[in-house]
Amino acid sequence: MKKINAKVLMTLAAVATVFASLVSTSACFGFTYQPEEPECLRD
Amino acid sequence: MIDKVCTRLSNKIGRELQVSENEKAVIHYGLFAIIHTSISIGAIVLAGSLLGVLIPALILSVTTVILRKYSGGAHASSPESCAIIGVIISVGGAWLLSKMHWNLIVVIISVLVIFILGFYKVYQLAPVDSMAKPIRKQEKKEALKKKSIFTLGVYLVGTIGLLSIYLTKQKDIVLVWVMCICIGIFWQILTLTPLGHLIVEKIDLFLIHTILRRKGECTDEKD
Repeated sequence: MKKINAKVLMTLAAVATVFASLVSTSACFGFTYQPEEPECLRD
Repeated sequence: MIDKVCTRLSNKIGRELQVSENEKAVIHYGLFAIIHTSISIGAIVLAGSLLGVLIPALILSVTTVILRKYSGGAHASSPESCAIIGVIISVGGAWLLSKMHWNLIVVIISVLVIFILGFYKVYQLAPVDSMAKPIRKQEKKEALKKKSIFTLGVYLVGTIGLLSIYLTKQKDIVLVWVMCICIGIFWQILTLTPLGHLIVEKIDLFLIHTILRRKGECTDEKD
């Protein structure tokens, strides 16, 4: 169960990281709310 | 609420996978993007289906969102306000447009006016960044401006395609779809301007003080 949990979290982390980098290349989120972008993604 | 869920999830991921603080912040940001996008699209699909304007609402919404990704613009102070503004503009706009009777001449004039204004304003103002996501590099600004102009070009080709379909099939709904693209572009270019920022701010404040009932929030945000 713990292994499955770790795999789910790892997948979630990977998907979230891909999504974050996709958003970081654009001017904003796309909708009318923009949360604080992490400093390491700014350029 | 979305922020709390994302913080819990990213903390759990951080603990289990032992990632650095920077990686955790990126995961939190990505999770927020996924959840916020899903909720905003879900709200538009739900309200659009209830009012029987799902396709026009999605056309208007997608037109705005894609152009907005590259050109930026005014922002609401909370994800909830953002979702409500999205529903009001996309579903409300699509509903109003579908209730009107459109003739080809009016639609062609609207297309010409909106696209000329759109190309001009995007060339003049895009990209409009925000405090939460500043765009510092000049190359990135130029790349985003080019992508915004390219997106408008794609919309123009799509609009001409839809008008050709209307001329062959004579289906009135196609003119509604064309007007949805026009209003989507108009709303997005409006949010690039100071007037658009003022309008979004006023709607945001109204929503916070009425539907969302968080009176301290707007002053806190500004502080």
